[in-house]
Amino acid sequence: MNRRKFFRIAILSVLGAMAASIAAYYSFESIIVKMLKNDLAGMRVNEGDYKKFMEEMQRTNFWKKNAFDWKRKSFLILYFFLPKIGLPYQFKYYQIKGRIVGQFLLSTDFFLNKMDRNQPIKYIGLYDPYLRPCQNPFSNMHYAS
Amino acid sequence: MNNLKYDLILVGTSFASSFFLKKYLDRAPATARVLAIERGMYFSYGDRIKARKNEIPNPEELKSHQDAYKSDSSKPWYFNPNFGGSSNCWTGCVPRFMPNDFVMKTKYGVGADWPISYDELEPYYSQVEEIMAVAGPEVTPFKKSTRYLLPPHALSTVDRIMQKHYGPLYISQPAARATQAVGKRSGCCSSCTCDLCPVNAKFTIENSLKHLYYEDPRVTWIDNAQAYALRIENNVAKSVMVKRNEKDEEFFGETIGLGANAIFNAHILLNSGDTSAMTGAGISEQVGTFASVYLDGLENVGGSSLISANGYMFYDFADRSKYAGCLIESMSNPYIRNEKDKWRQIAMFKFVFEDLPLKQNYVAKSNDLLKPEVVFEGISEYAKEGIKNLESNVKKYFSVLPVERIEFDGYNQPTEFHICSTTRMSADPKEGVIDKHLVHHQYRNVVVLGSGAFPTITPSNPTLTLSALSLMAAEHYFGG
Repeated sequence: MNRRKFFRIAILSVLGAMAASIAAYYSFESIIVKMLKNDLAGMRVNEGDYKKFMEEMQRTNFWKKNAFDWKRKSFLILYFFLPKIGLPYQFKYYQIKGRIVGQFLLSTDFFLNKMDRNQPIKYIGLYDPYLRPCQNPFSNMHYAS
Repeated sequence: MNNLKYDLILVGTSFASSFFLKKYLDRAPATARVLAIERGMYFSYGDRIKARKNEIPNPEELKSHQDAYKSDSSKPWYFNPNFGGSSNCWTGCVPRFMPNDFVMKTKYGVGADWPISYDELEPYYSQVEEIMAVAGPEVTPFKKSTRYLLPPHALSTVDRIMQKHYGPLYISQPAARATQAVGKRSGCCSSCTCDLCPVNAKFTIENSLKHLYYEDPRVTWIDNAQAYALRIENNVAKSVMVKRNEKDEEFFGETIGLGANAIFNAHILLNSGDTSAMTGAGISEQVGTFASVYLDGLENVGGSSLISANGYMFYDFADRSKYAGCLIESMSNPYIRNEKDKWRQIAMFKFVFEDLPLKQNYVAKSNDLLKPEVVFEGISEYAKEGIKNLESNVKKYFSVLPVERIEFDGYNQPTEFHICSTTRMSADPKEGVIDKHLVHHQYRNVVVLGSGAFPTITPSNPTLTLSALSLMAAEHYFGG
């Protein structure tokens, strides 16, 4: 085993141990709620809507259907706690986090109200084109050219 | 053994077979007898929607691409082996190929020339566009003799800036996603889950050509039947060998049309004793990667459909002799930028590069007659070089937008969901498997349909072209 390989394994082991310890204290769902609250701080979201959202995500198998396996979940948990200073794959973390925040906001009337932060944000139901087609809030259906 | 002899036996019910069948039935006599052999089952659109909503389970007998072939490579090849084939899961992108795509060797010294020209295929492009009721713009980078049937999809605010600068090189994507109700299809309302359209706006075999199989008395189709070989005698295909409900069956035909896909068409030929070194060789597809453009003060809104536009700025260009051309897709799904008050100040683009068929990537027989082996060593240096130049090209061509920063994914998508070039067409039998009319060089009553025919893999989506080739092949084979 060369030095580089040794260090890589050592770092991965430390990160794995950290993820395991964090997971022992926090559930994946509770971290997602914390993440949403952090990113949407200052916006008029009803506290109970986070819970509704998480319940619907769970009930509809969103995580499984969208390839959130244990590796991706651990990655998200770990990066949520780590300081974001030049970490590898940091942009991937922001991408995935942005997708979850987007999924939450799409499940509300925020985008349909043209992103007006002064209006209270009302939870509609989990964003799902098969339950409610034609609701892409950025499309020409909502923004005529 | 079934002693009935069919005038035409078609393997598969996807685009390649269905367009061939349509043209054949247009000119066949009332006494003609056709058999279509489908590996999977008929699973209706309505039931697919119910399954997607978790209201019903997927039927156990629904066939999947998984376990359909063997491979040691991590590269996946996706297809839908059921009635209507991949029309059940495609996105409906139907750009034409560019005229120079047919003369890559002559024009750029890369790959091979096709034995047909753009001009020869042009009338058939128009026919497919009409059958699919394609929505598209007035002005295109490729010449057209006809107008698209439906008005184009709306461009987003970002697309409009790009189009203003690049004119015909940046257009509303030609799409088989209807912009208004047509036939049994609704108008697209940008739900952006096109693999299974929630409002049935996308062309599928089921919503537009199912009548060929269900209503035409000349046609019989059987399901759960996997064709695995042809019986060849004196270079003439006599019959198709089929495994149905775990039993062997044999169906006799005057003409055999192979329209499975590029993996299984090649495999059937190999199982039939085709010893050409070209059969199965060169399996490939395009290579795609994403980039996100963070915009300074510009909201990216108003685009319709999943992919609102196509960019051709570095598709057919001077440096194509050095590296792969690229088709740009402007994504209009509801992604966001996770920054307060900049939620939609972002644009996502996909960059789809052409590749070249390489001999180290191939389909082979395995020890299982029903399962081909796919060997894939990797993409060409030509494609890799194209990807290397992506960043500089994006910086050059996207500077017309108010760009804050651009984030490249930095990795390639595992697949573009296309399978090409395993039964390439060629003028010289040594360089391919089929001639310019898709007729097998050696077995002259076998027509090998689909994108396996492509001598080169262009950046454009293959479905329109393979469907046009099917129309042309049927017209030529059965008389104009």
